[in-house]
Amino acid sequence: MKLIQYALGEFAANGIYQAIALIIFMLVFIAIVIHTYSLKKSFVDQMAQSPLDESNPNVNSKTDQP
Amino acid sequence: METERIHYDNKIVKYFAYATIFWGLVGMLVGLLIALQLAHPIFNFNTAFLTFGRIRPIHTNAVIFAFVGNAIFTGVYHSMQRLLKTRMYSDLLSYFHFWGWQLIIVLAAITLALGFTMSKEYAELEWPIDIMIAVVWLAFGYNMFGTIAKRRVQHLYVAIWFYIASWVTVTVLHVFNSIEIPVSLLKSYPVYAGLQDALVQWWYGHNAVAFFLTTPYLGLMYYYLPKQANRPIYSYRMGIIHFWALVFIYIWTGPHHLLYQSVPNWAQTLGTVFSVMLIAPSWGGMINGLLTLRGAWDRVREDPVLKFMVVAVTAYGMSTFEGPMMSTKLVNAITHFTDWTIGHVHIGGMAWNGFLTFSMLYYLIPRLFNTKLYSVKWANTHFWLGTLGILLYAIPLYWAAITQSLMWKEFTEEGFLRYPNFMETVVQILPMYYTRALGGLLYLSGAVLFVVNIVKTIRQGSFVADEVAEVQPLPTYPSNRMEGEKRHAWLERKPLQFTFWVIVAVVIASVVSIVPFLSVKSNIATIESMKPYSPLELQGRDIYIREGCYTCHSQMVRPFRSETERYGDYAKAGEFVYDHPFQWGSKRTGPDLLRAGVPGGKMYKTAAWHYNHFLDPQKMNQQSIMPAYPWLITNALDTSTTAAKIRVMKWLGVPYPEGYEKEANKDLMHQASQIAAELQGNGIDITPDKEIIAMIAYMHKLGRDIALPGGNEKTEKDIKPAPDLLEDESSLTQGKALYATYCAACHGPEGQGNAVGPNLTDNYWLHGGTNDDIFHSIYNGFPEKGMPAQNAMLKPEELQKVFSFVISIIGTNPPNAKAPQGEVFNR
Repeated sequence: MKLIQYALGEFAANGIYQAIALIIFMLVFIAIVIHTYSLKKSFVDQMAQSPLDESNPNVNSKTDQP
Repeated sequence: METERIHYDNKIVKYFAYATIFWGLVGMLVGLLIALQLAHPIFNFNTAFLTFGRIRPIHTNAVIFAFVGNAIFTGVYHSMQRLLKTRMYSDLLSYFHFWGWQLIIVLAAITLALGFTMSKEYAELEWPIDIMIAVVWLAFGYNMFGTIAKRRVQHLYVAIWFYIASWVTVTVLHVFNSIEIPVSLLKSYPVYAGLQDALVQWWYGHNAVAFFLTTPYLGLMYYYLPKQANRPIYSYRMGIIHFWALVFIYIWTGPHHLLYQSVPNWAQTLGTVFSVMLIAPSWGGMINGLLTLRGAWDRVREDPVLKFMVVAVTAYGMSTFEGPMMSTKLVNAITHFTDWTIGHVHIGGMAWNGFLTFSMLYYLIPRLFNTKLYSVKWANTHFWLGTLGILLYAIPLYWAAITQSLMWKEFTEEGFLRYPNFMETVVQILPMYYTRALGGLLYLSGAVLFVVNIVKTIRQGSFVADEVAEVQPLPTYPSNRMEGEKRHAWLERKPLQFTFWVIVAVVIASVVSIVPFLSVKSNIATIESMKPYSPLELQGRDIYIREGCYTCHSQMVRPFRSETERYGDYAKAGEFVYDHPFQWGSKRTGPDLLRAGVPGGKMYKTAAWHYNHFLDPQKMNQQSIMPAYPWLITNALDTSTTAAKIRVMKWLGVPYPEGYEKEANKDLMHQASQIAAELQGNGIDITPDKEIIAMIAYMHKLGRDIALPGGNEKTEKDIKPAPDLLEDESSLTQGKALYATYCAACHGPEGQGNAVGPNLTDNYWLHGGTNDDIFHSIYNGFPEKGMPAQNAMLKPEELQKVFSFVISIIGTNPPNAKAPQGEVFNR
């Protein structure tokens, strides 16, 4: 609790730089979260599959095990 | 749909993988050597290019840029071709990148060993190599963006974003932190000084960790973890948030390396706030990685690749919690300058980077050679050796850090430092240093087993140089957003626009963090008494940098009573305006030296003391772990560079008089002659043209200009009456041991005197022979003559014992006694 009070005290006492930084970040962060969760599920699922979409069926047949 | 056959370039992947393995072993071996050097100075081998100060940057550069760097390129060249379904844009650029990077590594190792360094951590390399890095890095970027441009997928997977962000940010960091003015082919000065230099360096230094050791590895995690687990990443949405939040926040946090230091409070708070905020995206990434294994945890028990990945990702989470905690002022006050930082970075380096690299190579090599891993059992053994090694490495260092930090800060009830002698705090943690070396040895042993396993795997397989893939051509899409297409989905298929927004995120923080400091005069309170370095001091400073003294000694007294009592007045930003580069340091293996030149100050030592200390530190203090620097005494100072150095400094704004470069060597020799004469007066056979003279001049410059006339740093010379004499054997034995540690170097092991100090066994005394006189001499010393004030080193009961021992040896008449000095006093 003291740590939070200390950080807030510092925040208030030290001018505008942190405030600008924090506001910019929070706005960007909120926008990204909203936007991200409005993406279509089908698109998200397709992108998540990208690493698994191997297009090289002819090689590496012996490498199923580490 | 019609498919086409393409060939992935596995040869470049193999090259980088081999380089990763080779440089990994080299980096770890050098790491083990420096761990041993910290435990015992004998491992410095009295050889210039093997001393800790020169070897430590080789270790960090080898591990970061050679081992991790090559591992990044291995993974990027492998995963990028497959994620983008295309061969790399240019084979020529790929191999130019490979050989160029290896050449840089070799040149780095050679130049650092020879002492050519900028002394900026992780950016030590001199300007020609910096230019080579820029050229090779641009070639890599051109190849990467070219590959992205000819991709056969519409959208870029999250791993590729991390690669782009890493490339963009490292480019910006490297260029701005490496702006330096050459003095000669292998010597330059950064354009930034003092506070500016510190802020730019730690903006770079922290983000080298962020965008070289972290974001590319997150890209590797987002590719190889789903591959090995054979399931998609837990949450792609979380990946998007992870990426943008991380890229945006990371760049702000550099000033957390400078808490309580001569940096404006707002910058420190900025670093702290953003560091704490960084926990959220970092843990988002860790959770995303670990939850990818949902439903596959049973495989972790059997599969060493997944084991390595799980520990790596967990260590990423632990490190990214620990780092923000260390960035809060309350914790930083304890952990900074201690081994906690070293433990912290090694959790990141050994577990996150090391283990993820091992897992990637265990995954890759069998596939590149179309075979199975030679021995899963050996890989499991490697895992446990490595894990045990990490624990044995980090835990002792945390223990050492807390122990030493608390010892530094502890006061007696009377208000004195309980451990005024820095050496006491070093001796206490030496067992932890040995244990750390054992941890490193275990980790290295695991790596050797890994190499044997990989070699055996390679031998049993056959290399697939050009791997065939069947892919569908990319349909043509409109450049603008399509109907119903979300902005981020559109951004993921527009690499240029994507890269633009990454640059915006990175540059905003950089501008806010650094631009306010670009004008020194308007932001940093100047101190009128600060004078530029004399030519000899400047040469000495460059020797200090060459020998890597900053790796063990800070020059930054923080405004804590425990530090001002030990070292002297706290540091002010205005003191460093002529420091190109700054030398604040980040670790105190030895004491802070910011006030080493304040006459009569707590840290002041005479020229003769410095001479003997550089020649043989253990002679001055048996328990010292500092390496010897005998070559400083034999090497002639190179004065041919003086004019060029003064000229560059003038160009950088250091106010030397017009045309001073022509007169500089004359002043240099004058000052050198004075120091040599002082040494000769103490019986030391030395000529003014030696490097040690310049080094002593620099030591005596530190803090001198800021000391008030008359010496605001002077030890209080209150007259202390002598305590009662102790005559019991135990006390005298302890007094003898203390004498051997603190007095024998200057007064001989039996008190017979030597070239530095007078005979203590006869009846002649330079400062009076009564008990009160002798105790006063021990207690307050005569710093101006080289006799340190022992009250700054010893506790009251120890002073009583050493005083009693000194009295007990009067009249013992040892052999080879020095001729009488001073007035006779018959007891």
